[in-house]
Amino acid sequence: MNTNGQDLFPILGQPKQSGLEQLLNRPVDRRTAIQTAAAALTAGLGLLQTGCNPLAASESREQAKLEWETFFQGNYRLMDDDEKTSTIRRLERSYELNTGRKINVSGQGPLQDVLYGYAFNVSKCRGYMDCVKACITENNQDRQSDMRYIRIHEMQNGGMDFSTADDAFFREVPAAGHFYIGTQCFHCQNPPCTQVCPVQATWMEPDGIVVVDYNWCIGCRYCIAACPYDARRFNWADPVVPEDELNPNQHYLGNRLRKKGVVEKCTFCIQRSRSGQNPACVEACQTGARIFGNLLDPDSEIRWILKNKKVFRLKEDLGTEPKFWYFMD
Amino acid sequence: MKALAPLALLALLAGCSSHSHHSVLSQVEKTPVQQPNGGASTAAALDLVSRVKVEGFDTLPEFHVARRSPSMDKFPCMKCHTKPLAQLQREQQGKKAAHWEVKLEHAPAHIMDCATCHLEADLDSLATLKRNKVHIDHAYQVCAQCHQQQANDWAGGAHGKRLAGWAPPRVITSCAGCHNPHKPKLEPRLPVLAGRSPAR
Repeated sequence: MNTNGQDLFPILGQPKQSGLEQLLNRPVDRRTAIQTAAAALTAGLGLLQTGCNPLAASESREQAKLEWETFFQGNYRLMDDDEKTSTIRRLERSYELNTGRKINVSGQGPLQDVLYGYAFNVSKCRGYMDCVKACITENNQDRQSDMRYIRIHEMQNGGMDFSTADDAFFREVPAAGHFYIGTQCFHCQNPPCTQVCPVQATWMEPDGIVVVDYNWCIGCRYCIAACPYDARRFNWADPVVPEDELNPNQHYLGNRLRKKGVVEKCTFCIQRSRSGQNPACVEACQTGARIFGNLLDPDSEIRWILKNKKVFRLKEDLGTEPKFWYFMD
Repeated sequence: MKALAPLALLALLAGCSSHSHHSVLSQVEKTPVQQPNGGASTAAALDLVSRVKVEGFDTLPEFHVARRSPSMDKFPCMKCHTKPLAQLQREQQGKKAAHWEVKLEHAPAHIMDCATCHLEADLDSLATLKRNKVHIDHAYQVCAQCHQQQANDWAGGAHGKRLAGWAPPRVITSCAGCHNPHKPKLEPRLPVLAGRSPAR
């Protein structure tokens, strides 16, 4: 590299000073000096104030320590059990320090010999939207942007064209001449979304649930582009969840609070399903159109449906192997 | 460029054949299971649910239906039906009928009346079309006579609602848990407002 290049792109050259030295040695004009002094004065006063309140000081010190540790936190999948536990405790304590309220974050791993599958009865869905509401509440989804993992598409009888379906209907349902079909993350057994992640912040768990490590996600949204089913959502702004509507029963890979700039999606309510419960959408559905269960249990309802009903999946030709089947009565 | 096209096609085909595709179901069938359902259970959540074993679906593994009789305020019927029905009807004439809210909107009158499902000789019980007694907690057996398809789907898991979760034991709601037997059709309604109201 020639000298001119070094002048133009100093960052590309070998650093000759440490960061601190560079900061201290940079040329300072009168204006900058006054600005810096004012900022230092404000910061100093703040420090003095907290210094006079020993409790607040210890709490803010603890908060700073938690933030520091969180900053250097690794990929959840590479953590050992101790690291996972301390990561989760940090999250809980941090929330408590910020809001004064407690949350309960689980890190429960996959159950042995369980592979989750889902079936959706197109004949039964009547467009009530109870599933969508339950999902929003259960999973602490952003109220500001009206984030929804589930979409219910109102289709005109005679075809199934998602491009002309109405996803924002609000009238008496089921409307004459229409049927309803829901989509969400299908937890593909061969998921394209996880393969494109440049930092491996999203992966499929052994029980078949495709999850995201919200702390490791860099927000590139490759996964959103790769998903053929429009199943992933992006936080363009800091998510807003009213404090009194917060679901405190959370899972690290599930419904814990997200932040701006990360991708999230349906996790089959990992915080519920791993303890034997049904996802919130299944429980909320009043028509029984949603069935959830263990594909590895030959006696499960989902296996009965796969064996006895004529089922189909969306875009099967892509080979993504969704674990989400549709059927009709 | 034109000469390269067949080559590219060949490469594409080779790529397809080398990528062996396994369906998730073929994987599922090949997976040996050591601990069924990972030991997960909904037994604790179902502790207070009064239930009976479902009878008449012998090819299926054992499952239960939530009992309705403990929560029915007019059951047992013998609380009021102390006299023969005809006598009660005579005495009630001109007064407000006890079952004023029941209007049968199930099947046309030439197919169905009260006695199609209720056993006149023993009003605590339901009856099959051949007048065999059926306990009210096994009412699905009465429904299943006409609605065989629905009953099979219900027993298998494609119709109806399961209680507590996906993990065993399997307890499901009875037909009347969702459908009013006297008026089984679900009425249209407005969808719930999920999140913010629709943009329009």
